[in-house]
Amino acid sequence: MLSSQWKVAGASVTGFAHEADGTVCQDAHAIATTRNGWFVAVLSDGAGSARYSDASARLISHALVAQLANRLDQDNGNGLDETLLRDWIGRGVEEVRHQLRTSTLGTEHDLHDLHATLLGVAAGPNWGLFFHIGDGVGCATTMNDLATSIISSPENGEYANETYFVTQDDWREHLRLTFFDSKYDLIALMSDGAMPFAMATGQLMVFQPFFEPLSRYLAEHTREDGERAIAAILAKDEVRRITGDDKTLVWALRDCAEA
Amino acid sequence: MSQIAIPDVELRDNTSQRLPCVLLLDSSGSMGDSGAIDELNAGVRLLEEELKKDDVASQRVQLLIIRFGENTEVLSDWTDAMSFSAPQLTASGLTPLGEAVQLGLAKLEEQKTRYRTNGIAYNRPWMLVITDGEPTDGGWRQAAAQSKAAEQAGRVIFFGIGVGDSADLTKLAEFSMRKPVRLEGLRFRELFQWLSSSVKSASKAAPGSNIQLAPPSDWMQVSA
Repeated sequence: MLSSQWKVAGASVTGFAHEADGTVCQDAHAIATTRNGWFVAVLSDGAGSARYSDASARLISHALVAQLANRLDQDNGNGLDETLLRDWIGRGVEEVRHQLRTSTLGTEHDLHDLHATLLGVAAGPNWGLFFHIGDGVGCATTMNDLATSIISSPENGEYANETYFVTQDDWREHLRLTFFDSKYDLIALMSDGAMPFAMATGQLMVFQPFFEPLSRYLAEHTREDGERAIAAILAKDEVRRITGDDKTLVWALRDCAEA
Repeated sequence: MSQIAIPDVELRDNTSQRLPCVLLLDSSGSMGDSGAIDELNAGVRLLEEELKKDDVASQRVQLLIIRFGENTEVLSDWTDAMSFSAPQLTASGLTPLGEAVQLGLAKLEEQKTRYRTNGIAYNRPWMLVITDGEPTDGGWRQAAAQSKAAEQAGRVIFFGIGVGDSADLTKLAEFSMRKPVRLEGLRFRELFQWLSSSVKSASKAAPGSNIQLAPPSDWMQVSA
């Protein structure tokens, strides 16, 4: 029996701008894989000006991944289609927003203190999709052809430092779903802070001199080593110079193994 | 714990967002008489030094310098802060501020088009006017309305700075939603220090954040 499993790694690193003023990392991410070959990940980037956005980003990413992974785990491959997944995502986001409002964070504070973006991916044996509110970038590509990819682009206002949040009332209008087929087996999620050096100019593909060596390394090492390596890169001096933003990179490669 | 280094990985900033910054500088005759022009020149040199010292700002900030006096001209066309060379202004002529503002706004829109064509993200542009008198060109009111409307539409952040007692702040106020301020004496150094700090913050602004401007207290005149 052929089952596809995913090799995964992810790291979120505090940017030097936050280190300098003592703010905690406002990026968070969560990753899960299921026995039936699904990979789920969510990255959330808390708004700089929102007081509790670090806690909010953590709640959003962990809660949504747990929910989706749970549902996907029960799929036996017959009943799952795009419509159903769209529905799960919508309901998952509503549930997470409800959790935010009713948590100790929510009761005392408006959601604007919790503003954070949402960038997620669910990828299975036959297809996958990005679900995305705000900035950051999702990229689905292949090891052999990094120039060909399906991208979930950042959505900014006119200006580079404006974006949209899952905590806004009109979040549904800014939720974008992007599908990709099983040909794309190498997936990355990046927060805004990681994009300047990981994506090529124009944001339509990964920056190959960065992404290719990174992927080869991650494919050949344990998750633990891989995550330490990602964190080390994100915290490097040269990268710190490029941007003081918090940085997250989530990576996954599907390999097919005979069970 | 050993440092894990991934072999061959290349770290280069490909996609840096830009912060376009326009300086409209009065080079009319009176700026020479008062010695203000020398202090202004020194201030712009300080801006150059300060921005070059900052790794992020030197890549992201783009400067355009327009002078207005005898005529209106672009003294220094769009350039990255890291390659910017402070021009030397000499003083003569009147004060065609309206023309300078219109030229500045037009150059800004051109640059934004260039950014969009090349997929480069940018922050809200800054426009700073420094003048020691009042506008002398016929169409200045129209230019003022244009600039105010641009600011209201979120297309630019405008700062008006008057130098000396003859600077007409009432007229300068027509150009912006923000009240113009008067420079304390000839404290251009402090003004440009403030500008470089503020612009550095703006160039690093994270999504959804407000920019914390440094307090302008050491160069701004405050009436008793």
